[in-house]
Amino acid sequence: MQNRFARSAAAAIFAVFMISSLTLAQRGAPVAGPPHDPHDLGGIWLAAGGGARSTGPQPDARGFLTDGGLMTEWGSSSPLTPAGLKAVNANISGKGPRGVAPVYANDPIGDANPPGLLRELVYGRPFQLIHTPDKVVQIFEWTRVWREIWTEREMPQDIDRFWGRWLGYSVGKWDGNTFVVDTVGLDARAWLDMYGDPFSDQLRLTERWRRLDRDRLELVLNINDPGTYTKPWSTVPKIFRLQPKGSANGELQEVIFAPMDEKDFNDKIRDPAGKP
Amino acid sequence: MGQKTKRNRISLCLIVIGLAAVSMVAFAHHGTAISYDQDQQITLQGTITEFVWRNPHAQLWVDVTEGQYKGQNFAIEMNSPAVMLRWGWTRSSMKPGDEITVKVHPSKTGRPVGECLNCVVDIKGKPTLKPTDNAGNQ
Repeated sequence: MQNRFARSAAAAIFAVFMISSLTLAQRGAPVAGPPHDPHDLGGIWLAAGGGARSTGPQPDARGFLTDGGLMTEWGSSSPLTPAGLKAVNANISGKGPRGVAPVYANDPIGDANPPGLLRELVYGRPFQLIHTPDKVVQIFEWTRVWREIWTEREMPQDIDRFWGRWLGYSVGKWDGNTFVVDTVGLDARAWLDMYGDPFSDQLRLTERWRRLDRDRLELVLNINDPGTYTKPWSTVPKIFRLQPKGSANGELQEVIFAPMDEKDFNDKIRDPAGKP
Repeated sequence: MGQKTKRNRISLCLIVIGLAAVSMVAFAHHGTAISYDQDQQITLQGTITEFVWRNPHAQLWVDVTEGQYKGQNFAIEMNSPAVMLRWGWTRSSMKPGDEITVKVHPSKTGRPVGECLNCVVDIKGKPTLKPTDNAGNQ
C-alpha cells in the first residue's frame, strides 16, 4: 500500500513538473537546461512524435468540426468558406479521415509532384536550418529541397511576382526570441497536409519559430486564407527535437522521388494493392 | 466502488487514450495503408526473387512456397530506403535466392500484394532483419 502511495505521489509530482515546464515554456520564461542561444536555430531538427493534434473539439468521421471547420494535421481550422468546402471535396487523399485507396486518390505527390511548404513542415522527416548573413536556409530531407528565408529585407509590396512557388517567398525577422516568417506566393495545387485539406492562392502564412531550450524548437503557424477559411486560425504548437551529430538523424539522407520510380511503385504495388 | 477498481478504470482509460493516439500517428504516416487489412497479418514463407531499394518505398518480391499464396510471386511494400538505412539495412541486406519468413498485412483486394513497413524478416542462415527506433516517421 505504501509503495502504491509512493508511486502515485511520484506520478503526481512528475505531472505537475511537466505541466509547469510546458506552461513556463509557452510564456517564454527561461527554461532550465544546457546553455543555448535563442537566436540560433541552426541544426538538424525532427518532429517529436507524430503530427500536431488538437485537444479541442472532436471531428466527425470525415474530419469536419461542428462549426464547419476541419481537423487538419495542424489542428482544428476555422470554418470553411463555400470555396474552401468545394476544394475539400475536390482533393481526394489516400490518407486521413476522407481517405480512399491511393489508386483512386488525386494526391499530387502520388505522381512525384512537390509536396509544397506546408506538407514539408508537417511531415515527420528531418530538416536543417542554417543561418547566413542575409538569410536562413531550410533544407528538407523529404524530397531534398530548400527554401530561403530572407532576413535583410521587408516583404515587397508587389507580391504577385512571387506567385506560383511550391515553397513560397519568405521574409523573416526576430520578435524578441521568436523568429517570425511571413510567406506568400504558395502554389495552391499543393495541399495543407496529407489529408487533402486545402488552401488557396490568397494564403498569407506566418510561421513563429521559438527555441524552447537547447533541444526543442516550437513552430506555430497562422493561416490567413480568406479564399478557404472564414477567418485566420493558428495551429497547435508543433515541437521539433534537435538531432545530435553522429545520431541516426544527425545527417540528412537523399530522399528524391524520381517520377520513373514513383510510376514503377504505383504500377507494381500501389495500384494492385488497392484495385481489385 | 473500491479504490482499486477505480484506479484500474482510470488506468484502462489512460491506456485506451494512449493506444488511440499511437494508432492515429501510425495511420497518418503509412504510405498506402488504406489498401491493406491492418487488422490481419499473414505469414509468408518463400524465396526472394527481387529486392528493389528505391523510393518511395522499397519492394520485396517473394516466390511463396507455403500457404494460401503458394506458387505466386508476392509483392511486399516495405518502408522507404532512408528510414531503413537508419535501421542499418542496405540494398544488400537481402538478395534473390534468400529463403525468408515474413509477416505482412495483405491487400484487401486479395491480390498477392502486402505491406510490411516496420518489418521483421527471418532469413535462413542469416541474422534476422529488424527495425530500430532511431529513425523518423516513414
